[in-house]
Amino acid sequence: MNWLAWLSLSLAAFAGCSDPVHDQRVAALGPEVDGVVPGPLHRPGQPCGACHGDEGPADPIFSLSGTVYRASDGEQPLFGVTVRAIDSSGAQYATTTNCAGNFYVTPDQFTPSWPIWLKVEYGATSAEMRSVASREGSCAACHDGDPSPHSAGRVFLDTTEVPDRGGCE
Amino acid sequence: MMACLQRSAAAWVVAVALCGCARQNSDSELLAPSAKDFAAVSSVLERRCGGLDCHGSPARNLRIYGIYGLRLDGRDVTGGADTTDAEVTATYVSVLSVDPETLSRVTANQGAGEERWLVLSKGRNREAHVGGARLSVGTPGDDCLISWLAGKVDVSACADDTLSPVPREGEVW
Repeated sequence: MNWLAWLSLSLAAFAGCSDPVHDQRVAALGPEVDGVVPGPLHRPGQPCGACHGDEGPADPIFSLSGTVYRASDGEQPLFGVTVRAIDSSGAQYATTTNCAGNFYVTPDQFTPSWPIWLKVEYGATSAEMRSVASREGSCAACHDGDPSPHSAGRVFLDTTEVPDRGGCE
Repeated sequence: MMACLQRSAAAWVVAVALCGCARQNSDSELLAPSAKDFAAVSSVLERRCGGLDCHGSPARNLRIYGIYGLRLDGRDVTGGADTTDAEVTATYVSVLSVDPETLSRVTANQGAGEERWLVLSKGRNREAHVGGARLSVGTPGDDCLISWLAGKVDVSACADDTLSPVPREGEVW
């Protein structure tokens, strides 16, 4: 077999590794916002797992991730929210939102046995998810934008306490 | 969109009901469990299978409509108003569309052989299921579905089905 045939086979093999649905899902998220570098504060409200999942392209992989807001309109992120999860084996994990309202958990920190239950707490205020999360680790995959027939709306905690901005401006 | 879905659902239910009155084993006639008391069965499916990340999604062949997932009426939102009668009907129609030949045989046999019906074999994770086991034999939720297949919904079993976190000993949630 000549080198051209090997090249064709190699290209075909690589092309077969691509998942166009996943690629489109990643592309649909659009570019980074000007002035925000990729990192813990970027892309609030987007489904983190689209990129930080098993199929990449981002690193690290997240087992749980999302954004919590001060109100349902998503205008103001809520810093310092405790996000608690308990899985079907009873294992629990808690983390805290950063100043973009983002939180993320890596598999080495917590790999849940699905389904899981979630709650958010800020000071004396808390809210618990009414249903289970069965397999989706990205909040925004289901809590996408405004409430609709196929979205539960943004994750928010209606607190009267004045939220700290946590260093973000 | 909603009106169209409701019309389709109604047409399907009528067709299934008519099939239910007819002889089985013809090429085009299938039996199906009754829509009576399906609301109780639907409540189990909604709770265990009907989240937005599973069968409460328009991307699934088996669609479960209701408060925890996909809404039938474009004015309703996930997590908002309770599941409506129209949504229960739409879920009923969707459930009947899964592996209908096996469902017909199970119905004809008053529920016997239920483990072969795809909804239960996947729900119990006896067959490959991305969501894993969502029903276990001997639990109220499973009993609820079996009773529906057998022709008389065990409403109390359906009502007894719960899905809540169980913290480990010495821990609280």
